[in-house]
Amino acid sequence: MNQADIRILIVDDEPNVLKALTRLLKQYEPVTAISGEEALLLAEQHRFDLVISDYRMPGINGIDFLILFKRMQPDAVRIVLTGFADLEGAQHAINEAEVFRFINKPWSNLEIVNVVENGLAHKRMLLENRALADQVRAQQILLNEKEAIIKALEAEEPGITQVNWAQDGSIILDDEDLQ
Amino acid sequence: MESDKQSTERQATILLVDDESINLSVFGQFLAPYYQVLVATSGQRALQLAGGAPKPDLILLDVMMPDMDGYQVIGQLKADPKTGDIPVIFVTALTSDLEEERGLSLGAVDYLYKPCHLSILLARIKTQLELKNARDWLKDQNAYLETEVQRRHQENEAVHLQLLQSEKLAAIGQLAAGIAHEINNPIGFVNSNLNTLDSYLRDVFCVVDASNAALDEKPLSEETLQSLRELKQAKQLEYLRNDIPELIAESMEGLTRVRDIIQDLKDFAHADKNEWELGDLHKGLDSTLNIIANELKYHCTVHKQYGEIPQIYCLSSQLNQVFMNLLINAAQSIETKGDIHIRTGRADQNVWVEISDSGKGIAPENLPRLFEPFFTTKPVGKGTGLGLSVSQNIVRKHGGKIEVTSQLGQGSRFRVWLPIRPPELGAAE
Ligand SMILES: Nc1ncnc2c1ncn2[C@@H]1O[C@H](COP(=O)(O)OP(=O)(O)O)[C@@H](O)[C@H]1O
Ligand SMILES: [Mg+2]
Repeated sequence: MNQADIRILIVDDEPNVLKALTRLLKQYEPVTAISGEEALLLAEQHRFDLVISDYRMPGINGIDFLILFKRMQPDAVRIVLTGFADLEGAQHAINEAEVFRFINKPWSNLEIVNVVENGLAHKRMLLENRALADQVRAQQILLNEKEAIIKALEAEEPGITQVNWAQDGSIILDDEDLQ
Repeated sequence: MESDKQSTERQATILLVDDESINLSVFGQFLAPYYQVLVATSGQRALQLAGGAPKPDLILLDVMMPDMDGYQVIGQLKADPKTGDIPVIFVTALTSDLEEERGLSLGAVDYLYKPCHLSILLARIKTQLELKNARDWLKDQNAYLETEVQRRHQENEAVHLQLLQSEKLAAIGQLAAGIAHEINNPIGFVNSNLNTLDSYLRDVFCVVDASNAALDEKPLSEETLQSLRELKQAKQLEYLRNDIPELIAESMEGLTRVRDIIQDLKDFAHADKNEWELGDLHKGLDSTLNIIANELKYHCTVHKQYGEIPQIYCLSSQLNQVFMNLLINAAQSIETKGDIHIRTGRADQNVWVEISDSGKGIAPENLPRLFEPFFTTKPVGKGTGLGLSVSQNIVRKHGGKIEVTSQLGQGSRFRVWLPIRPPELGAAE
C-alpha cells in the first residue's frame, strides 16, 4: 500500500459535502457516491483502503452501509460522519460495523485530514503486522516440519538424535551402539 | 349556635317616612327595641337618608305627603342604583285597589294601612327583612359565582396556552436533532470550504510573491523563470482558478440554506404572535415541511396536490403547528417506507387541508380517543399524546373541524376544514 495507489471512497447524500471533502482530500483523488447503494456498487468493482460515510442518508443509513461494505472489503478503514444525536440506539450496529472513528458535523478540516492519515497508518500497521504474523507462521511451519522429521527418526532409531561428543570433538559410541 | 348568629348579625336599619310626626314617634318607639330606626318627615329628607350611611334595609313610606308624595319618592329611590334595591313598604290610609296596584307597580313590596296593628307591622317588616337578606345573599352568591366562573375560565385559558406552548416545545425538541442535522450539513461544508480557500490563497500569494521577486531581478535569469514555472505547477494555480468560483458558489448556496431554515423556524415559532391575519395556507404548509424535512425525507415520499384556495383569516403560526402535528404523526405511522399526500381544496365558504399516509392505520377502538389529551400509542419520548388534542383546539378556535378516516394496515387520512372567514370575526368585512 504505497501513497500513490491509496483509494478513498466518500459517501454522503449532500453533493456539496462530497465536493468540500474531495477538495480537502484532493491528494488522494477520492471517489464519491451519493448513497450507500451506489457506494456498494462501486465497492464491487474497486478496492478501497478507506471509506468515509455520512450516517443519515435516504435509503440505507451509513452504519448499515458500512456493515455490508465490511463484508466485501474487511480491510478498509471505516469512518462515520455524523451528528451525535443520530446514533442513539445504533450501538449494536456500530459495534458490528467496527468503525475506526466518528467525525462530527460540522467537521474541522484538520480533524478529517488527521483521522484519514491515522486511519491509513493504522491500516498500514495492521497489514504489516499481518505480514509479520504470516512470516512467523511460515517459520513456525518450517520448524514444525523439522521437529517432525527428528521425531520420526527417533522413533525408528531411539537415541539417534542424541549424540555424545568427546572432549576432542570425536563421537563416542557406546558398546550397545555397536551391537 | 342560633344566638351566636343573632349576635353577629348586624341590627337592621329601618327608615320611617311620614309627614306627621305623631305617626313617626308611635312607629319609632315601637320598633326601636328591635331595629335601628331613622326618621324623615319629607320625601326630600327620605331620599337623603336612603342614600347615606347607614343604608336602610327597609323603608316604611307614607303615600300622602305634601310637596313630594310617596309615589314620587319610590320612583326616585328605584331610579338610583344605590337605593334601588331597598325594599319599600307603603303605609297609607287609602284603601282603593287602584292606588295599591300603582304602588306595587312602582316597586313597593307591600302595603300597610293606617291605623294598623303593631304586631302585624312587626311581622310584615320581619318578612321583608328576611326576604331582603335572602336576596342579598343570592346576589352575593351570584357575584361570587360569576367571578369564580371568570377565574376558572381564565385559568383554563392559561392552562390551554401552556399546553399549546409545551406541546410545541415538545415537538420542537423532537425536531431539534433533525434541524441540527439540516443546519450542520451546510455549516459543515461552508466551514470546510473557507478553510480550504484559506490554504488556496496562501498558495496563490506564494506564487505572487515569487513572481514579484522575479520582476525585481535584472536581468531575469532562465533559472528563476524555470523555478517560477515549477512553483506554479506545484501550487496547481490552474486548478485553483477553476475551483475557487465553484467553492464560493457552493458556500453561498449553503449559507442561503441556513438562512432559509432559520426563517422557517422563526415563522413557525411565532406562537406568541396571536394575531388574526390573512394567511396563505400553502406557504404555511411549505415552511412547516421544510422544518420537518428531516423527519420525513428519509423514509417518506411527500406528494403535494395543492388546489386553488383563497387566503383565509387565521392564526397562521398556530395552524402551522396543526400541520406539523399531522405531518409528524403521518411520518411516524410509516414504519419502513411510504407516501404522504398533502391535498388542499375549497368547498363553498370553507377550505380544507388533507394529510394522508400509507402508514399502519388506527385501530377502530382507538378512533374515538384520538383527540383526548395524553392519549398516545407511542413509546415514552416519542409521543406526548397532546398533538391531536392541541390541534383540535386550534382548529375549533378557527371555527373549523378535523375529520379522520383510517383503515388498519392501509393508512389514515386527516382532513382539516377551515372557514375562509372565522365566525368570531363576523361574516362581513
Ligand atoms: N396518521 C396516523 N396514523 C396512525 N395513528 C395515528 C396517526 N395520527 C395519530 N395517530 C394515533 O393517535 C395518537 C395520538 O396522536 P397525538 O395526539 O398526535 O399524540 P402522539 O403523536 O404524541 O402520540 C397516536 O399515538 C397514534 O396512536
Ligand atoms: Mg403526534
